[in-house]
Amino acid sequence: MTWLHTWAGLVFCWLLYFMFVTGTLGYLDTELDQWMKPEMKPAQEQNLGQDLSQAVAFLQNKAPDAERWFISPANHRDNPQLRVSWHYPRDSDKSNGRALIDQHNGEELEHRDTAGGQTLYRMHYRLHYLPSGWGFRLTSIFTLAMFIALLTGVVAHRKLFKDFFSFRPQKGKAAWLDMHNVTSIASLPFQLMITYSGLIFAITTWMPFIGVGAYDFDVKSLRKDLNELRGTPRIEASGESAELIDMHQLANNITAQFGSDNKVRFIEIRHPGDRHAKAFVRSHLSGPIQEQQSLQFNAVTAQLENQQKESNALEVRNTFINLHEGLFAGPGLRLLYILSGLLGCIMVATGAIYYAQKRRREKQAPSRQQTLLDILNGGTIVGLPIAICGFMLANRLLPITLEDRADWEVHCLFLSWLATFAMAGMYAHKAMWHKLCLSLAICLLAVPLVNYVSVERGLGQTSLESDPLFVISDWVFLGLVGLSTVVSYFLKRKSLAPSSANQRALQTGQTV
Amino acid sequence: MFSVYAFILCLIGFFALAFAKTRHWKLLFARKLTERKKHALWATGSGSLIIALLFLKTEWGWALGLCFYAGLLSLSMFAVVFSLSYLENRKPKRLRA
Repeated sequence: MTWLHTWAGLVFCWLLYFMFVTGTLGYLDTELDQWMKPEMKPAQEQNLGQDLSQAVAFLQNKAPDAERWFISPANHRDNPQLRVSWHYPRDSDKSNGRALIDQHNGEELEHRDTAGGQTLYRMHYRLHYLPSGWGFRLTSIFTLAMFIALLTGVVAHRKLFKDFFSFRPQKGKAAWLDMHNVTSIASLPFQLMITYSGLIFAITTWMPFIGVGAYDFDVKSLRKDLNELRGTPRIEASGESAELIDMHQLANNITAQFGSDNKVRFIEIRHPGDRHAKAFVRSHLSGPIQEQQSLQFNAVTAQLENQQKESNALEVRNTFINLHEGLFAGPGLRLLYILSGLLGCIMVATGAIYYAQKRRREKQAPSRQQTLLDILNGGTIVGLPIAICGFMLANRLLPITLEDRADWEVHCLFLSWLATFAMAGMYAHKAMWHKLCLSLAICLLAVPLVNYVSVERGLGQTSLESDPLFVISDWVFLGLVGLSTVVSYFLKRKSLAPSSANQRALQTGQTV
Repeated sequence: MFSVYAFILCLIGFFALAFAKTRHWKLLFARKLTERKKHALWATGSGSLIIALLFLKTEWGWALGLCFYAGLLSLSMFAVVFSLSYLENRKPKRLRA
């Protein structure tokens, strides 16, 4: 039974670690997107009417018969470029699409086919290579387990709160436990928030009957009510054509409602070109609690038709989801989100290491199972960051014309991860950790170097004023190179120093 | 600017709370930690943590202020724990000197 307990616990840790690392990077999804599309420069913020008319002109040319158009003006971190997408009805044989628009000439912006930060972010709840829906089901079960572990952990380890500040790095195994405790207590508010709100995402996945049951299992009427609650009611086309209003006029009407400093997140135009055309407007979040209601305009007369206020239940749900996603966070708060996420990564990683170490018998050489656990632990904990470097390097190194290039970037992520497991397996347990950290340092160094050579937006090639994202990311990478080199050095020194277990093994003639 | 003050207050708060414990007190002071000092430190610590929250509320309002507060508490506590373990490592050397 012990082996099952050990393995179940560790597999839980590894998946959770994957969710934490990719989820933390999710707070930088737009930045990663920009980094992975180096052909594009951030757009200038221009007046809303200009953005809208450019987008509408593009869409009228590209997809005049689509059912819905979405337009996101370039005015916010989440929308660095003017972005449009178009959707056809489900039974149509035409395919939906999206594009980024060049504000200078109104044409589509060309960029390399890339998975981008969004794919990395989506991996933290959908995983990868799994049939649609299964990854999410799996992660939500793990989230529930984590939530239970957090709550019971707080109760079970009440005495931790007495030793609130203790971290004893010299105490061997206990140091891992201390680190685990310190990181989990320090980021407890964040952990509770993130797991609980993560569960809220999964409500309808795991408890579908609560919603449908209230409607006597009539899915259609549930959907209709939900759409109305969300401020996007179903609208039938009339079949008569009518000209869309001037976008400058619509922009003025929006500004009159939202105020000039409140920015539009997106506009949805339903049935463009029809007499029943409607425009739905949503603003950006300014905080976790959504203060702005959505607006509904008649897209032929520009008249304000409806001002939907969300119901209280929906508002509570949205508040939790907003807290989870942190879309409202400015640079300062975003940094705190990332740091809290990193504390979470450290918490899970140290937990996994301690869990494996505790099961080691000091006086014996490690068993085969123990060695396997160590390899998997090292390959997961240090290997995942290496794999993400591989993902970013693939973005720069794969040929631009490669078919399914975006998919190949993700394959490169998992292939390089596999390689780290092989590398972990090649070295004995003692040398493994510092070799892995050293290779992490090399991979981290390779990213800015390859960036320097391949796209010429590296340090010394651009300035902080014109290209803050690329300059800052280079410095962050160099900082991380330094950090992992130092860690690798200390791990090497430690592995060379004879530990008590080592000495005992030497006396009995065994090798460790 | 209030956010920076709030961060400093959080650091002061956690340091005070830490030194209200005998184990950590001994790292810096040779004298005994009396009950009175303990209470004073505890009051200073909790007080500055509360004032930090009020500062954040002034700058960001309750909704965003509480988000900032949670983040700053985590960050400052982590910083305090690490500086305490640094002090602990230095202690034997100072006693030798």
